[in-house]
Amino acid sequence: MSEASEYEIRALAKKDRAKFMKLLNDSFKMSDEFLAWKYNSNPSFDQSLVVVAVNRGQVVGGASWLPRSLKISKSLSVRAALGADLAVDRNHRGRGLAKPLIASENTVLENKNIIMSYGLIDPKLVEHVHGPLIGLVEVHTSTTVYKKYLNLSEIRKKVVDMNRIAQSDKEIKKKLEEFDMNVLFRLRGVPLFTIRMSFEEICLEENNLKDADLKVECDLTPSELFKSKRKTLALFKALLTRKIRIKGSLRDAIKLYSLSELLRILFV
Amino acid sequence: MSIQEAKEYRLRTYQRGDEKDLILLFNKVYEHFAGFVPRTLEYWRWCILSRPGLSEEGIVVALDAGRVLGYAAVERSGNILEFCYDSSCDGKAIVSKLLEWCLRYTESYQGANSITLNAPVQDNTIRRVCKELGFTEEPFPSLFLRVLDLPYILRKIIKQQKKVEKGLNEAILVTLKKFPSWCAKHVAILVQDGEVTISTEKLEHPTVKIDADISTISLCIFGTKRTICKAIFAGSLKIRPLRKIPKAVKILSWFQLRNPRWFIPGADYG
Repeated sequence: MSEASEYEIRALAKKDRAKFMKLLNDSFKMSDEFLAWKYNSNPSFDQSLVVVAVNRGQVVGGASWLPRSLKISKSLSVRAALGADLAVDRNHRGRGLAKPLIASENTVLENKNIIMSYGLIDPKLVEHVHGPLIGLVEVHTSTTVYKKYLNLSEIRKKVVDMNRIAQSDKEIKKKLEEFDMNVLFRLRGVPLFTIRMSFEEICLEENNLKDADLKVECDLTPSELFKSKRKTLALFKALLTRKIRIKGSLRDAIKLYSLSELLRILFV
Repeated sequence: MSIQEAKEYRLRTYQRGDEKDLILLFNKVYEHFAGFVPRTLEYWRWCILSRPGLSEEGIVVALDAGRVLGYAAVERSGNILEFCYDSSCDGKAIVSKLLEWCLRYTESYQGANSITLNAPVQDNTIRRVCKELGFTEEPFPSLFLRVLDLPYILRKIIKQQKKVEKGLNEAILVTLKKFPSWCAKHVAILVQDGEVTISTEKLEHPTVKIDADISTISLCIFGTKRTICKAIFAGSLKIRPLRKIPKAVKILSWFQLRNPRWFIPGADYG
């Protein structure tokens, strides 16, 4: 018997509503005000398009869809449902609960006159979690995101991720043994920053132009850098065309390149 | 620089009653994109005006002699939810003014770490201005979709299709290999002298048989003619008899949405 069968998956009832909102609040740090806006005051919100997973009277998972009229080409509109939120309580994760919640789309959207469903999904999740959604296809979008960092808060979070990976990945850990380097980054759309890379820790400093062993300047966007399947080739091409400029000793540059997988986190 | 280009556009924050003009502009600018959710007064008031994290001071309008030429709605966190401008005017000047305003507005809030804007890839004016203002470009999350009512969508597409050829007569039976329980297993496409009929009946004597799963058919709808050919070569779209492949490809291509451009503004998700 699978662990998921300990849970009852059913449509959201009035009595579950507050519990479902609390689950979303805990999972995504969405404020009560935001949730009330997103669901309660949404003119197209339909309670029957929300399912919950209940375990011993507690709402421990939920998924929701929001109906809307959607253009699918220049001149064609259909009634569609946007896959909105999918949440599982942290104490119930890893038990295969997301799959039946997602699979409930098949029953939830039936007889609702909804022609299509769509959503923004991490492709890594599709294979593992979205399997029950037969017919789910990825389409090429013409949407791009322009971003400008106003401070280093988001980069700081990326450095935390880098440290976590450096601690858990033996290969990277080994490479870092010989490391003690200050690298100054001048990236498009990001304030100037330096990363100090050593075996003990990878840490971020603002500016610090003086102590930099290596200076990396990059005019390329992350998608330009990493969209190519041949990333090494793309990197060399960028170096040759001076879209990436590295100032410092060649030895240090090669050493830094050996950690390119770790540095990738900074760019995406 | 022409007189039009040198024009100074006036910026002001949102005022009650602006919504009609803003909605009109948004719908005009984005209605040709796939992913477009039409703005109605009710939807816009909910989606923008009453959204927590966005105040009326976060909506900036560009005007010329009282005419709305562009606007931006930016959250205090720096997320630009809606951004549009009238490209028939001096787009670069309007986009620059609006974006510079958004930057100043976001920077005035201590809590904002970045400013983001979703825009159509093809919009070179926005691209140029963003580059000048020091923005970087990041990939948009992957968009997945799922057709729930295949016969309905095929009927809708064919109704608008202008390329349906006369003099072509075929009875095509599409059998879905992998399909959701609520979906019809068979889709019949009857082509008779320029008239196309779609049904879910199982044809007794089809002239063409197509076997595929619903993902392949969906990809064919949202892809290009190459997608159909690729699916045939990959074996995921089986057409019998083989001599009918060219005709079947031609008919299937009538059901294609001609590579729609998908644009999803920040306001429509999250």
